[in-house]
Amino acid sequence: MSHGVAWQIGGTAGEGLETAGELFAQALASAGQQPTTGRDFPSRIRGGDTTYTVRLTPGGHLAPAAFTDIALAFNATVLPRMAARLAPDGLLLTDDGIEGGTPFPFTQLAADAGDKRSKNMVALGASAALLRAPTEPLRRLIVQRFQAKGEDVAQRNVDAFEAGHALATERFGPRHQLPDARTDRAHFLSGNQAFSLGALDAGCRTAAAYPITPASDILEFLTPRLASIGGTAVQMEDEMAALGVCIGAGFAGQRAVTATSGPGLSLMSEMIGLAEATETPVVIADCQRPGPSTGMPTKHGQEDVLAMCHGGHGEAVRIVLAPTDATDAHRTAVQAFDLADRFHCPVLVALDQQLSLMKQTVGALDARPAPHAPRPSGPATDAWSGSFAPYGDSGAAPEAKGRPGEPAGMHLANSTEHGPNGLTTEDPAVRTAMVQRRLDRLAAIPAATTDAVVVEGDGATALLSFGSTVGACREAAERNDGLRTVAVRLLHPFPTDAVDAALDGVDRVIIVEANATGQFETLLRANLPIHDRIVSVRRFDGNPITSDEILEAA
Amino acid sequence: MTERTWKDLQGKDPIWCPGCGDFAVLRAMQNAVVAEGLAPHDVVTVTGIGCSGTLTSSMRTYGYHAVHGRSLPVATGIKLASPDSTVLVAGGDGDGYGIGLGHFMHAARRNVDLCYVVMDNQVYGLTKGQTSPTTDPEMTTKASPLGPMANPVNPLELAMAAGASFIAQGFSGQAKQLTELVRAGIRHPGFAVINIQSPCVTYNHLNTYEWFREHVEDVTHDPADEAAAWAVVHDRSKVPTGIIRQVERPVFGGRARPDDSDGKDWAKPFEVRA
Repeated sequence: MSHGVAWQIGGTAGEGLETAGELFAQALASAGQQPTTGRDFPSRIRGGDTTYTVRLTPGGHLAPAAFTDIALAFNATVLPRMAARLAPDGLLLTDDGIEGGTPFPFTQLAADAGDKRSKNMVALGASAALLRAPTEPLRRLIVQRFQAKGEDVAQRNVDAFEAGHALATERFGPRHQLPDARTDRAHFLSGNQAFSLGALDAGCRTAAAYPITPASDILEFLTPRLASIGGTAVQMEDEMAALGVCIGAGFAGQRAVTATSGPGLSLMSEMIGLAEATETPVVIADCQRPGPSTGMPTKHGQEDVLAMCHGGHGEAVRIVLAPTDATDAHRTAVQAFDLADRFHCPVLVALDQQLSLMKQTVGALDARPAPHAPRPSGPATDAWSGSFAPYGDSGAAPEAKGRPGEPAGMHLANSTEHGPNGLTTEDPAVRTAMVQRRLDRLAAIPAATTDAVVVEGDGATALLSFGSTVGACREAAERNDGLRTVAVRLLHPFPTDAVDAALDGVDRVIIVEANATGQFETLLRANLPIHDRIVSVRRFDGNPITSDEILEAA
Repeated sequence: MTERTWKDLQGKDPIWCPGCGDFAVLRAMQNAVVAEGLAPHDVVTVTGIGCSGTLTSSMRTYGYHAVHGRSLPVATGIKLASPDSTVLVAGGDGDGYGIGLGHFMHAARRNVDLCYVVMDNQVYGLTKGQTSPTTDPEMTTKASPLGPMANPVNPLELAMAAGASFIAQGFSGQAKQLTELVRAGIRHPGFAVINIQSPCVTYNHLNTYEWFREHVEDVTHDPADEAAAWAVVHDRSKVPTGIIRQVERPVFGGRARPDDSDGKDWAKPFEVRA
């Protein structure tokens, strides 16, 4: 059984598949639908088979479809994988000369319209006919897209669209009804884009990163925007340097962000410890992908949970937040900077490939940041003279520190164990007190984190998950009344009380995550006595989990 | 107000061995800050790890004691976010030319406005006497009984190759010149590297004060003359001291700009409604 409607276009990378998919999704979004997108693409620049999927479901949750209803294939090699996903009553259109589907002359109609490269627009026209999608937004978006290349190019593409629409109407007629859901969600964007917007809204003014899939577009997004407002974006020589720049900026009182993926996170682990030891606020996005090592750079996975929460040596204060969708990625970015400033520590934001790259409709992006951390004021004080103890607080509420240029609160941020004045010490009593102080801070964080856990529904079976996998859980709950969804947005320090409360009255806990060893489940088992109630749903083939897989376990 | 002296910039007493070359470097940095008329809170001192890394505890300015080899990226972030601060970076030969070599080359070519002081003693001190990237091939250690089995790096050649816009070399036995070099490095707009021959009296019995006194020679060429600078750094028979290279290049970052974010609607381009 398929849920909602799923549409897919596939062929060779470079055939305009993403253009067609994006335009289709944007047009549907502008008509009040809540499309979500899915991309399956290889780690190479040109060539290779790729697909772009657009789903329409009542809730608009980010999750892939188990089955495709309408598929359009441009080449023979991508066909088997598209056919394997086709719903029993689905329609698979194949370009002329490709065996295995219902033939449709994409290339020929495009050539007749003036340029065979416009076959993606033919496909869009045919798709609009099959789904009875409003054509006006599509025409408008096609013109917008191509008018920079000349009126004639735009017209040729519109002509190709009309030709595809006319022939599909004639041959097949409308095959599907769009979901009724009408939404006021006014934006269409990816999690990486939403996170970046959130960083800007939070007052982040420094970004530094090293290119890595699927995180690269965060720096690319921020660079021109920061440049336009007097901020700084810099591509560094490696991930250690990227985080180093952000830590330096954080020490100087500026909100700073870096973004990376698994391999970069591994390289950053020592620098994360530096930010912890020196109590420097900084925000790090980890756009997870499958590992170990290079793994599968363009595929999906949630395999960095334990590395994010515990990676690196020693024990100190860090926060790991996990947004569930694009709207939440925006809010979480703002929350991450606020928490970093409030608790003087690094905050990691766990994104994943699906959340980072796939687009969806988003409502109001109205999260507003809290003010920056306060500074000491008054006459000159400094840590060496004993007039200022930057680390002399009790832990739960860090002492306000001076910033370079400010006479009050001058101090040393010290990676070496230090006493309340920040100066190096190996005194056992002081060391013990400083460790306890950091643990006290950790303990204060869950209660101070808004929406550390988000519960929807009250069924006795709970779908417990984090990150973009929550989308599939919410979709499963939309399809089956007896389910409760529990999204854990704070992975570290673990919000034990909130999760415990969320599981009140639950007799089965289905833990859903995109890794093989149950890293998220490990956090739960370590903190809650639920061992006898757990069912595990795990997927680690590089693709996100579907609501169908979850419903099978439920 | 009484005039500031180096004592106003003295933090904790250093942990270095008596006679260590690093004392002279610390004093030169303190004297340079005083001579340049900088208030301590307008200066940030950044270090990595090793004997050199402990300098931040003794330098009463804003300080950041980072991890091994990563002082330059942190200093870069500080300078970019706080362009009006003077950012001094201090390190050793292991910190800068071993574990942190990549950052050294990139900081130099990026030309961030930093003054980078390297206390080069040709040995790892704090870990008790292992070979470093600048160790003489003749020196043997516990971990390298046959010597380093590698050519020593020449920091000045590296800096030249990376296009550093200010390159100087000093010697801890020439304190007055050291202060002048650090002052010049602070004043230089862009990345200034000052390699300082700072003898380790405990673990390096080859490159001693006496050895350096026999080998140092003040340079006399025009630092703007690239070919002359190359000739000086290629000549391994001497230890050249003074400003070896100075050239104006565009500086990364620059002055602080006012935040101009008022009224920006970042989400506007992502609206899908007609």
